[in-house]
Amino acid sequence: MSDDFEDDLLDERIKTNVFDPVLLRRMLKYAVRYWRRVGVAVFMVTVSAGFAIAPPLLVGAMVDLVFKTGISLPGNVIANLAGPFTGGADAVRALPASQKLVMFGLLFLVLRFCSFFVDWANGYLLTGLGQRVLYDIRLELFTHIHSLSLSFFHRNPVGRLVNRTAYDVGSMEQMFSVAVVTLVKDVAMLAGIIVMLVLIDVNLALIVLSVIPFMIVATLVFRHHSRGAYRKWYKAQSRLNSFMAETMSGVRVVQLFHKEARNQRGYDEIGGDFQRHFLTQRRAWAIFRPIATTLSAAGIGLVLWFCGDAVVRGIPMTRLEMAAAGAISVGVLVTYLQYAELFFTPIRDITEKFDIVVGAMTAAERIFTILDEKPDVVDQPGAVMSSRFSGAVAFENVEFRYKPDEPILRGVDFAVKPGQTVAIVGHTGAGKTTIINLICRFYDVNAGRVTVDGKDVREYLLKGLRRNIAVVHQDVFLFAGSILDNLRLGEESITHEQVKAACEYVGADKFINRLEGKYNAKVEEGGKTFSAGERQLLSFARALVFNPSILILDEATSSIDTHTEEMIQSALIKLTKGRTSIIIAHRLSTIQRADNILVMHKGKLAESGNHQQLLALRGIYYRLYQLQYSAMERTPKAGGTRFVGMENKGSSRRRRAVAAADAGTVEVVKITNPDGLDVAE
Amino acid sequence: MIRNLFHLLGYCKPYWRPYLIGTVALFFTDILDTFTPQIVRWTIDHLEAMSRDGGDLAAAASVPTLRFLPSHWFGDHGFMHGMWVYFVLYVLAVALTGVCRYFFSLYYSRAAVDLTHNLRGKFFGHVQKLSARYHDKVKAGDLMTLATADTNAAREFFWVGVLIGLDTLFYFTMVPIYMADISWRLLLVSLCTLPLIPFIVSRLANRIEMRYEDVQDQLGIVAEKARESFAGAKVIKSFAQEENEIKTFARMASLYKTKALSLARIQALQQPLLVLMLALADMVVVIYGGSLVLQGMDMREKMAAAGASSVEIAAAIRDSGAITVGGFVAFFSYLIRLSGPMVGLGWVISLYQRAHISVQRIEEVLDAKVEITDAEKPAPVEKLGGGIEIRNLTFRFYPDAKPALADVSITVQPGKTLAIVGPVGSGKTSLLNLIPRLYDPPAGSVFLDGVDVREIKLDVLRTQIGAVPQETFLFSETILQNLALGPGGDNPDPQWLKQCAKIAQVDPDIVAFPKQYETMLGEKGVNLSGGQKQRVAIARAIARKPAILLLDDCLSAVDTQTEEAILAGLKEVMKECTTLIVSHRISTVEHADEIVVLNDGRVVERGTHSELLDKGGYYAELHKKQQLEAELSAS
Repeated sequence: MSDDFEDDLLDERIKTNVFDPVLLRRMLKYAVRYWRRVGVAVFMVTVSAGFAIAPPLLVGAMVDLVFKTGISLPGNVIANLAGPFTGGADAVRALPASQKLVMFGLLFLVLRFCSFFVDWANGYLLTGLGQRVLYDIRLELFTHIHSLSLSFFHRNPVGRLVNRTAYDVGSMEQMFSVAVVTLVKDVAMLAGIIVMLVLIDVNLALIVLSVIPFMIVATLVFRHHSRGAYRKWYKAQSRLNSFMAETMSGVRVVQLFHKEARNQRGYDEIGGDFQRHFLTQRRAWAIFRPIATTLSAAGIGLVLWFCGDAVVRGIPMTRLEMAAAGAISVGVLVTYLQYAELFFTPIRDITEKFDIVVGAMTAAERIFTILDEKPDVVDQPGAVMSSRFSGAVAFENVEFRYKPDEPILRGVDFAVKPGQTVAIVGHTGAGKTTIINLICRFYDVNAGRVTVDGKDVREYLLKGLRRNIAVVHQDVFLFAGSILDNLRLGEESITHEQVKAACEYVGADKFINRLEGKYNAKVEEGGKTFSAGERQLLSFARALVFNPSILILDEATSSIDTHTEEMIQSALIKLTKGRTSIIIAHRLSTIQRADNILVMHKGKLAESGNHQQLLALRGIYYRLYQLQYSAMERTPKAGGTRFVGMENKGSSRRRRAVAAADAGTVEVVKITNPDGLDVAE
Repeated sequence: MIRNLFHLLGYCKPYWRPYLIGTVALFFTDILDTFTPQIVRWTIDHLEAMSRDGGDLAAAASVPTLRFLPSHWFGDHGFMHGMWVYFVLYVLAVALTGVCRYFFSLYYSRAAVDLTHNLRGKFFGHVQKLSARYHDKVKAGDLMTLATADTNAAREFFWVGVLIGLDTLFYFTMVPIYMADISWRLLLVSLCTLPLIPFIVSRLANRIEMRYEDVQDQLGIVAEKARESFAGAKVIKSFAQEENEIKTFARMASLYKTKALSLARIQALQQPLLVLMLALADMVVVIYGGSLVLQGMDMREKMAAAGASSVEIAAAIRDSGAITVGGFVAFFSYLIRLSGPMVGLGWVISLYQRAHISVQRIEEVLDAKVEITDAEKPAPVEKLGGGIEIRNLTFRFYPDAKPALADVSITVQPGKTLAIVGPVGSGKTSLLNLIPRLYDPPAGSVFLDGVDVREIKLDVLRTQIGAVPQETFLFSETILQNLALGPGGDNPDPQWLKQCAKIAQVDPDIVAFPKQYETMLGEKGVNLSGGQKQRVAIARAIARKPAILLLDDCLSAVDTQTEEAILAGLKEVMKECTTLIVSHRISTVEHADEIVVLNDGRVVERGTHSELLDKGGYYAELHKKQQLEAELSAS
């Protein structure tokens, strides 16, 4: 499983309860911010529903008024509406048939145009709402992810986070722009139709609407069956996807072990399952759909039957007699008929929106899982904004572990005076990087404290603390963009001149000036077009541009040619001048120049002092130095010799108490034996 | 476009049977469905004629129901004036549609799902066969998108697309027949706006597509920004640049919003505009159709006054081109029935476009040549003896690339062990990959038992070489199933598999799991540690009793003690086969019959452990360094 994409596929599990009310409420909260827009939308949707139910009324009225088949409510409504323009309802009735026709033709036209504009505006309005909500959620998510601590980024592959911010948010948008609204419209239409039917004739309305309970039962039964089938299908799909994903990422092993044929059988089996469940789900639909249409046909049939009978009964009667006998005109029958036909549409719509809602809910759940993550490192109440540090850094009996039972730092004590350069050396896993992480407060200590200028780092606002510390990482991360963008990052207040000056200072200007577009030259992400040395110089310039009080540097281990090595060394001297610098050193020259060397061993500060003092100790540093010496012999062409950290985590029993003597340059560091292990060899 | 459409439809051919059944069912559905407005037409004509004549049933004698059914059903003494007949007719017609509907619905989905299943299966099978070189270039995630999103797009077309396409075709042939039966003049006039629709749809579709692409591009930019920003989270935190990042991201997301809204502005137009087009037809029907009705009513009055029978009147009205109220209402009904397919047409087009692109992408992969295949005339080798000879091998991953291996010549006798050491990127893994032909060596450079490896059947080659790749990859199956992959076949002896697990020192770990060898691995089961995985992979490789065993740095995640135990166990196995072993650890390689040191793709040192120590080169230095490390870690 190498790709993030696959990880996401496996992550996709259908919720047991699709309509989790807590989740739903939380989703809808995002729309509350736009209540005005929502209000307008709901109003417009209702209007649009009104337009949708108007035509049957109009057709019925037309049949009655123009073809003089009787007098009815629809006819009266229209006659009264048109009355003021023609001199009263009776005048409308008295108009010549051809004029009435034109009137109805125009009415239709106006109605359709109105509904066209309302629908258009509505569609736009709703997408607008959806897009705004989407923007809000996306930004909230992005902001939230950036507020989370480094440990979160270690736990979550980048691909997953990208899927959340880019794609999952997209499926949530559907919920707002499509599902909610269609629901409102459908409900409004249903209600409107029922009201109209009842207004025209209560008894007939009851007869026609008697189909609804059957429809509801059918829908519920269908939903029950289809949901089970849907879930099985969904699961089969995840299974198929992860099976394929696994094969594709492990294709080499598949080929090495000649597993192709077996995989193909596996595909047929798992894919067959997927097929079967898909068809089961479709079959449920294939049965429900005809039942639903037949039921809605029964509604229409009932209109033909009962309304037809009512029409026949009313034929010889006058208007008053008709009302008393429950008889109706042909126009009313037509109106009823068209309503019965319209009735099924919203019900079908609601069923079909199910998929969208499921998708949106699943996406929402995943997004909220991230939004519910709490950052480990937060600003504490009363924390102060630091302006500039003088640069004193101290660790006071610091204990730290990433996982409960794996201590990384075990009682580390040291102090760095303002302006000093300190080198940290030790094996891989000795805790060097952790020291850096704690100074920047990427993590909080478990015990003891880390201070800057005598004050606990937790007493500063994170932003101020980090703004005053520049970290140069071993693997330089360059963003896609220009050189300028990469050096000042997003800080627009840093001028082009400042960037240029910094580059000249560290000597990066030479190769930048050779680039097409110079400081505006395009940088690919990861900076593949630059050599390791050039990337290093760029990262130096970046650190310098921010003019930090404290510089932290994790020296690159990669070998570079002699010339670049010299450039980097001279840049390093300039960079560290006049500011506290803490360097995880891999190069002998760096170490030799340091004011103090901290030798980390198994989470403890084992030795400290300057190069000569430590060599004289003949302890861990001495052995590390020997190792480095042999490395230097092997690659004599590399000018800068490397101090290679080792991949070995073998156990050591010996602890040393070291007192570095030269108090002039080095703070006296006393390391007693905190966990009481044997001091003597 | 037409050619492409036919190309796509060509995929349906093998599934003609379900498609045919579905289409026949669809045809009958449409026939019945277009018939139902006729029942309404009869009802209204029946009622209208009666009401005009003051309730005289004879006035409606021309209506088919009255002509073919006993008239006393409809009289004053009939049950509810016989109007139940229309109910029965209507429900019956629709219920019959329902039966047909069930069949087309089922057969179409069956055809489509079978089609996509097989298409996906073909894709899957092909991808498995494509060589490592292809997989180096193409991301597994992209292939997955093809296997999921793109096949789904294909399925939508072969299912809904074909169905709605045919449905539309049927409607457009059947409905106008009925409409012409009511009044061909009205039909011509009302459909005058129709030609506008395809024009508008395609104009709109083009612009929508352009803006849609714009939106998708912007989404890509947003996703890319998010990706980069999360990938660089450490730098951003270090320089406290979160706020600026958020600002930039907000700008991009906001641009996305703007673009999406500009898309929405015309996309929201599509549906209402189509409805409006039909509305123009509505108006025509109201005015022109209405006047035709009035004309008919006029005629009826005159002829009735002249004493003509209702059948005569009906015939005369029909001949004059006038229409009845029932015809008028039914005409409306037909118009509405046309609007569905009309909107559907737009949908079909977009389904088709999407499927066309998706299938094209899938075909691109299917067309990719499988580079590594059996030779045309494979050598008659069925059993590998274990002899390996590499002659002046120079290998490049790509034609213009710098050689990954240059002028390498190595000979390993059957049953011997060759160890390969060298810095990262020196070509060790590349060398191992050439033997089972994960990559193809140039002809005449790699020989097994004197036969060019390219001449040996893949089947023979890959079932008799046991490999433990550098990156351990186990499948999400049980441990036993994973081990069984080694010997292959259907039912390898579990005792032997467990024996191999013991040799690889992983048996105690496995037995400690509650389900032991039946433990599921991967997401749904236990996640093994790196060392455990490596040991399972070793057991898997030796379980096949290979003629050649390839071990690529496969002990890096186990501790020294376990390593020693594994090596001791492997000693017996390694006697039986030829072994190539890559390692960074001297302790792993020191007992090999020959050790070669690779640097930059070239053999720079070769010899036994002691010979190389005497030479004082890379190997000797590595040895010294590791001794120091051992000493240090022991301190």
